[in-house]
Amino acid sequence: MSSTHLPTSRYVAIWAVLVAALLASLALGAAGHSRAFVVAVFAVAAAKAGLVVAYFMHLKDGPTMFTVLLAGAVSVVAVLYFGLVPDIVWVHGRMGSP
Amino acid sequence: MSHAASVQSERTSTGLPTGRVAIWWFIASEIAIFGGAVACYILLRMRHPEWGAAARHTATSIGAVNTVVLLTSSLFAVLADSAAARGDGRRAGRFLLLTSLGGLAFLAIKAFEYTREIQHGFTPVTSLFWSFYYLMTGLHAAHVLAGMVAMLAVASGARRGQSVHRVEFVAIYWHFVDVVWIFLFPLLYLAS
Repeated sequence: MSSTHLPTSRYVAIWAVLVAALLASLALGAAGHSRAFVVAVFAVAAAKAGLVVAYFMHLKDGPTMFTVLLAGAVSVVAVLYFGLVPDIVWVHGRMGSP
Repeated sequence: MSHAASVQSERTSTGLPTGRVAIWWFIASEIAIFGGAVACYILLRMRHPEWGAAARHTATSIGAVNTVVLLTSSLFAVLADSAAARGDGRRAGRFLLLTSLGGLAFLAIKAFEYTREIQHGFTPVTSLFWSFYYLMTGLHAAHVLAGMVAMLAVASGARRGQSVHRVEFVAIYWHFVDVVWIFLFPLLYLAS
Protein backbone atom coordinates (compact mmCIF):
# COMPACT_ATOMS: atom_id res chain seq x y z
CA MET A 1 0.00 0.00 0.00
CA SER A 2 1.01 3.58 -0.37
CA SER A 3 2.56 4.80 2.86
CA THR A 4 1.37 8.39 2.58
CA HIS A 5 -2.35 8.80 2.93
CA LEU A 6 -3.98 12.07 3.89
CA PRO A 7 -7.00 12.53 6.17
CA THR A 8 -10.36 12.32 4.40
CA SER A 9 -10.94 16.06 4.87
CA ARG A 10 -7.78 16.83 2.87
CA TYR A 11 -8.93 14.68 -0.02
CA VAL A 12 -12.32 16.38 0.01
CA ALA A 13 -10.56 19.78 0.01
CA ILE A 14 -8.48 18.74 -3.03
CA TRP A 15 -11.67 17.58 -4.77
CA ALA A 16 -13.24 20.99 -4.06
CA VAL A 17 -10.20 22.73 -5.56
CA LEU A 18 -10.49 20.52 -8.66
CA VAL A 19 -14.17 21.42 -9.09
CA ALA A 20 -13.35 25.12 -8.57
CA ALA A 21 -10.65 24.82 -11.24
CA LEU A 22 -13.23 23.30 -13.60
CA LEU A 23 -15.50 26.30 -13.03
CA ALA A 24 -12.54 28.60 -13.72
CA SER A 25 -11.91 26.73 -16.99
CA LEU A 26 -15.54 27.17 -18.01
CA ALA A 27 -15.35 30.88 -17.23
CA LEU A 28 -12.16 31.22 -19.27
CA GLY A 29 -13.66 29.23 -22.13
CA ALA A 30 -16.73 31.48 -22.16
CA ALA A 31 -14.69 34.67 -21.86
CA GLY A 32 -12.92 34.33 -25.19
CA HIS A 33 -11.31 32.15 -27.79
CA SER A 34 -8.02 33.97 -28.26
CA ARG A 35 -4.70 32.17 -27.94
CA ALA A 36 -4.20 33.58 -24.41
CA PHE A 37 -7.50 32.12 -23.20
CA VAL A 38 -6.70 28.74 -24.74
CA VAL A 39 -3.29 28.73 -23.05
CA ALA A 40 -4.93 29.66 -19.73
CA VAL A 41 -7.52 26.87 -20.07
CA PHE A 42 -4.79 24.30 -20.66
CA ALA A 43 -2.69 25.69 -17.81
CA VAL A 44 -5.66 25.12 -15.49
CA ALA A 45 -6.06 21.59 -16.89
CA ALA A 46 -2.36 20.88 -16.27
CA ALA A 47 -2.70 22.15 -12.69
CA LYS A 48 -5.74 19.90 -12.13
CA ALA A 49 -3.90 16.88 -13.54
CA GLY A 50 -0.92 17.72 -11.32
CA LEU A 51 -3.13 17.72 -8.22
CA VAL A 52 -4.66 14.34 -9.11
CA VAL A 53 -1.28 12.76 -9.89
CA ALA A 54 0.46 14.23 -6.84
CA TYR A 55 -2.18 13.63 -4.17
CA PHE A 56 -4.72 11.07 -5.42
CA MET A 57 -2.11 8.87 -7.13
CA HIS A 58 0.41 9.64 -4.34
CA LEU A 59 3.22 10.39 -6.77
CA LYS A 60 4.29 13.38 -4.64
CA ASP A 61 5.69 11.08 -1.96
CA GLY A 62 6.10 8.02 -4.17
CA PRO A 63 9.30 6.40 -5.45
CA THR A 64 11.32 8.43 -7.97
CA MET A 65 11.12 5.44 -10.31
CA PHE A 66 7.44 6.16 -11.02
CA THR A 67 8.11 9.82 -11.75
CA VAL A 68 10.86 8.79 -14.17
CA LEU A 69 8.47 6.30 -15.82
CA LEU A 70 5.84 8.98 -16.36
CA ALA A 71 8.40 11.54 -17.54
CA GLY A 72 9.74 9.01 -20.04
CA ALA A 73 6.27 8.35 -21.47
CA VAL A 74 5.48 12.07 -21.70
CA SER A 75 8.86 12.62 -23.39
CA VAL A 76 7.99 10.08 -26.10
CA VAL A 77 4.79 12.01 -26.83
CA ALA A 78 6.70 15.33 -26.79
CA VAL A 79 9.24 13.97 -29.30
CA LEU A 80 6.37 12.87 -31.55
CA TYR A 81 4.72 16.28 -31.29
CA PHE A 82 7.75 18.51 -31.70
CA GLY A 83 9.16 16.22 -34.38
CA LEU A 84 6.06 16.73 -36.51
CA VAL A 85 5.38 20.42 -35.79
CA PRO A 86 7.87 21.66 -38.43
CA ASP A 87 6.22 19.49 -41.09
CA ILE A 88 2.69 20.57 -40.20
CA VAL A 89 3.22 24.24 -39.37
CA TRP A 90 6.36 25.44 -41.09
CA VAL A 91 6.29 23.40 -44.32
CA HIS A 92 2.60 23.53 -45.13
CA GLY A 93 1.73 26.55 -43.03
CA ARG A 94 -1.68 27.42 -41.70
CA MET A 95 -2.59 29.12 -44.94
CA GLY A 96 -0.97 26.46 -47.10
CA SER A 97 -2.77 24.23 -49.53
CA PRO A 98 -4.60 21.32 -47.89
CA MET B 1 -2.81 -16.01 0.11
CA SER B 2 -1.69 -18.79 -2.24
CA HIS B 3 1.92 -19.15 -3.34
CA ALA B 4 1.00 -18.14 -6.93
CA ALA B 5 -0.72 -14.97 -5.74
CA SER B 6 2.26 -14.19 -3.53
CA VAL B 7 4.68 -14.45 -6.47
CA GLN B 8 2.48 -12.26 -8.68
CA SER B 9 1.70 -9.54 -6.17
CA GLU B 10 4.24 -9.46 -3.39
CA ARG B 11 7.64 -10.13 -4.95
CA THR B 12 9.78 -7.07 -4.45
CA SER B 13 12.81 -7.31 -6.75
CA THR B 14 12.69 -3.51 -7.05
CA GLY B 15 12.02 -3.02 -3.35
CA LEU B 16 8.42 -2.25 -4.33
CA PRO B 17 5.36 -4.46 -4.66
CA THR B 18 5.44 -5.91 -8.18
CA GLY B 19 1.80 -5.07 -8.77
CA ARG B 20 2.43 -1.40 -8.04
CA VAL B 21 5.38 -1.29 -10.45
CA ALA B 22 3.25 -3.06 -13.07
CA ILE B 23 0.36 -0.60 -12.85
CA TRP B 24 2.73 2.37 -13.28
CA TRP B 25 4.34 0.70 -16.31
CA PHE B 26 0.86 0.11 -17.69
CA ILE B 27 -0.03 3.77 -17.17
CA ALA B 28 3.19 4.86 -18.91
CA SER B 29 2.16 2.80 -21.96
CA GLU B 30 -1.32 4.31 -21.83
CA ILE B 31 0.21 7.80 -21.86
CA ALA B 32 1.85 6.91 -25.17
CA ILE B 33 -1.52 5.77 -26.58
CA PHE B 34 -3.63 8.73 -25.46
CA GLY B 35 -0.73 11.17 -25.85
CA GLY B 36 -0.19 10.06 -29.44
CA ALA B 37 -3.85 10.64 -30.28
CA VAL B 38 -3.87 14.03 -28.52
CA ALA B 39 -0.61 15.13 -30.19
CA CYS B 40 -1.97 14.20 -33.64
CA TYR B 41 -5.21 16.06 -32.88
CA ILE B 42 -3.36 19.22 -31.83
CA LEU B 43 -1.10 19.09 -34.89
CA LEU B 44 -4.05 18.74 -37.26
CA ARG B 45 -6.02 21.34 -35.31
CA MET B 46 -3.20 23.82 -36.01
CA ARG B 47 -3.49 22.97 -39.68
CA HIS B 48 -7.28 23.26 -39.71
CA PRO B 49 -8.49 26.37 -37.84
CA GLU B 50 -11.99 25.67 -39.17
CA TRP B 51 -12.24 22.83 -36.62
CA GLY B 52 -13.02 25.54 -34.10
CA ALA B 53 -16.46 25.93 -35.67
CA ALA B 54 -17.07 22.18 -35.39
CA ALA B 55 -15.93 22.17 -31.75
CA ARG B 56 -18.62 24.74 -30.92
CA HIS B 57 -21.21 22.01 -31.55
CA THR B 58 -19.94 19.85 -28.68
CA ALA B 59 -22.08 20.07 -25.53
CA THR B 60 -19.87 21.92 -23.04
CA SER B 61 -22.42 21.73 -20.21
CA ILE B 62 -22.75 17.94 -20.56
CA GLY B 63 -18.97 17.59 -20.69
CA ALA B 64 -18.64 19.73 -17.56
CA VAL B 65 -21.17 17.60 -15.68
CA ASN B 66 -19.24 14.49 -16.70
CA THR B 67 -16.03 16.10 -15.46
CA VAL B 68 -17.58 16.61 -12.02
CA VAL B 69 -18.83 13.01 -12.07
CA LEU B 70 -15.33 11.68 -12.82
CA LEU B 71 -13.65 13.96 -10.27
CA THR B 72 -16.11 12.76 -7.63
CA SER B 73 -15.53 9.12 -8.55
CA SER B 74 -11.78 9.78 -8.23
CA LEU B 75 -12.42 11.09 -4.71
CA PHE B 76 -14.21 7.84 -3.87
CA ALA B 77 -11.31 5.86 -5.39
CA VAL B 78 -8.70 7.59 -3.22
CA LEU B 79 -10.89 7.08 -0.14
CA ALA B 80 -11.09 3.37 -1.06
CA ASP B 81 -7.30 3.32 -1.34
CA SER B 82 -6.97 4.96 2.09
CA ALA B 83 -9.39 2.47 3.64
CA ALA B 84 -7.45 -0.41 2.08
CA ALA B 85 -4.19 1.03 3.44
CA ARG B 86 -5.75 0.85 6.91
CA GLY B 87 -6.75 -2.77 6.24
CA ASP B 88 -10.47 -1.95 6.16
CA GLY B 89 -11.50 -4.09 3.18
CA ARG B 90 -15.25 -3.66 3.70
CA ARG B 91 -15.02 0.13 3.62
CA ALA B 92 -12.64 0.00 0.64
CA GLY B 93 -15.10 -2.26 -1.20
CA ARG B 94 -17.97 0.16 -0.52
CA PHE B 95 -15.99 3.12 -1.86
CA LEU B 96 -15.01 1.11 -4.95
CA LEU B 97 -18.68 0.40 -5.59
CA LEU B 98 -19.40 4.13 -5.36
CA THR B 99 -16.52 4.75 -7.77
CA SER B 100 -18.03 2.24 -10.20
CA LEU B 101 -21.38 3.98 -9.92
CA GLY B 102 -19.61 7.19 -10.90
CA GLY B 103 -18.23 5.38 -13.95
CA LEU B 104 -21.69 4.12 -14.81
CA ALA B 105 -23.12 7.64 -14.53
CA PHE B 106 -20.31 8.93 -16.76
CA LEU B 107 -21.05 6.33 -19.44
CA ALA B 108 -24.82 6.97 -19.26
CA ILE B 109 -24.29 10.71 -19.71
CA LYS B 110 -21.81 10.04 -22.53
CA ALA B 111 -24.34 7.77 -24.26
CA PHE B 112 -26.95 10.55 -23.98
CA GLU B 113 -24.44 13.00 -25.44
CA TYR B 114 -23.52 10.69 -28.34
CA THR B 115 -27.23 10.20 -29.12
CA ARG B 116 -27.78 13.95 -29.14
CA GLU B 117 -24.81 14.54 -31.43
CA ILE B 118 -25.73 11.78 -33.87
CA GLN B 119 -29.31 13.11 -34.00
CA HIS B 120 -27.83 16.48 -34.97
CA GLY B 121 -25.92 14.81 -37.81
CA PHE B 122 -22.48 14.71 -36.19
CA THR B 123 -21.22 11.17 -36.74
CA PRO B 124 -17.66 9.78 -36.87
CA VAL B 125 -17.63 10.30 -40.66
CA THR B 126 -19.00 13.86 -40.65
CA SER B 127 -15.51 15.39 -40.63
CA LEU B 128 -12.00 14.73 -39.34
CA PHE B 129 -12.79 16.71 -36.16
CA TRP B 130 -15.72 14.43 -35.34
CA SER B 131 -13.61 11.36 -36.21
CA PHE B 132 -11.07 12.50 -33.59
CA TYR B 133 -13.85 13.36 -31.16
CA TYR B 134 -15.41 9.89 -31.32
CA LEU B 135 -12.00 8.17 -31.38
CA MET B 136 -10.67 9.90 -28.26
CA THR B 137 -13.89 9.96 -26.23
CA GLY B 138 -14.72 6.39 -27.31
CA LEU B 139 -11.26 5.13 -26.35
CA HIS B 140 -11.64 6.91 -23.02
CA ALA B 141 -15.12 5.44 -22.46
CA ALA B 142 -13.70 1.96 -23.15
CA HIS B 143 -11.12 2.60 -20.41
CA VAL B 144 -13.88 3.72 -18.04
CA LEU B 145 -15.78 0.49 -18.74
CA ALA B 146 -12.65 -1.64 -18.23
CA GLY B 147 -11.92 0.17 -14.97
CA MET B 148 -15.45 -0.47 -13.72
CA VAL B 149 -15.16 -4.21 -14.43
CA ALA B 150 -11.78 -4.39 -12.67
CA MET B 151 -13.08 -2.36 -9.73
CA LEU B 152 -16.15 -4.53 -9.24
CA ALA B 153 -13.93 -7.64 -9.23
CA VAL B 154 -11.49 -6.10 -6.72
CA ALA B 155 -14.34 -4.71 -4.58
CA SER B 156 -15.92 -8.16 -4.39
CA GLY B 157 -12.70 -9.60 -2.95
CA ALA B 158 -11.90 -6.61 -0.73
CA ARG B 159 -15.30 -6.77 0.99
CA ARG B 160 -14.40 -10.33 2.04
CA GLY B 161 -10.91 -9.22 3.10
CA GLN B 162 -9.20 -10.87 0.11
CA SER B 163 -6.41 -9.20 -1.91
CA VAL B 164 -7.11 -5.82 -0.34
CA HIS B 165 -3.76 -4.56 -1.68
CA ARG B 166 -5.24 -4.60 -5.20
CA VAL B 167 -7.52 -1.68 -4.29
CA GLU B 168 -4.52 0.63 -4.67
CA PHE B 169 -3.87 -0.61 -8.23
CA VAL B 170 -7.41 -0.08 -9.53
CA ALA B 171 -7.55 3.30 -7.77
CA ILE B 172 -4.35 4.46 -9.50
CA TYR B 173 -5.73 3.29 -12.84
CA TRP B 174 -8.99 5.17 -12.22
CA HIS B 175 -7.16 8.40 -11.40
CA PHE B 176 -5.28 8.07 -14.69
CA VAL B 177 -8.60 7.74 -16.54
CA ASP B 178 -9.66 10.93 -14.72
CA VAL B 179 -6.46 12.73 -15.78
CA VAL B 180 -7.05 11.79 -19.42
CA TRP B 181 -10.53 13.32 -19.27
CA ILE B 182 -9.13 16.45 -17.60
CA PHE B 183 -7.19 17.05 -20.83
CA LEU B 184 -9.85 15.84 -23.27
CA PHE B 185 -12.46 18.23 -21.89
CA PRO B 186 -10.68 21.51 -22.76
CA LEU B 187 -9.28 20.00 -25.94
CA LEU B 188 -12.64 18.97 -27.43
CA TYR B 189 -15.14 21.24 -25.67
CA LEU B 190 -13.50 24.49 -24.56
CA ALA B 191 -10.82 25.26 -27.19
CA SER B 192 -13.27 26.14 -29.93
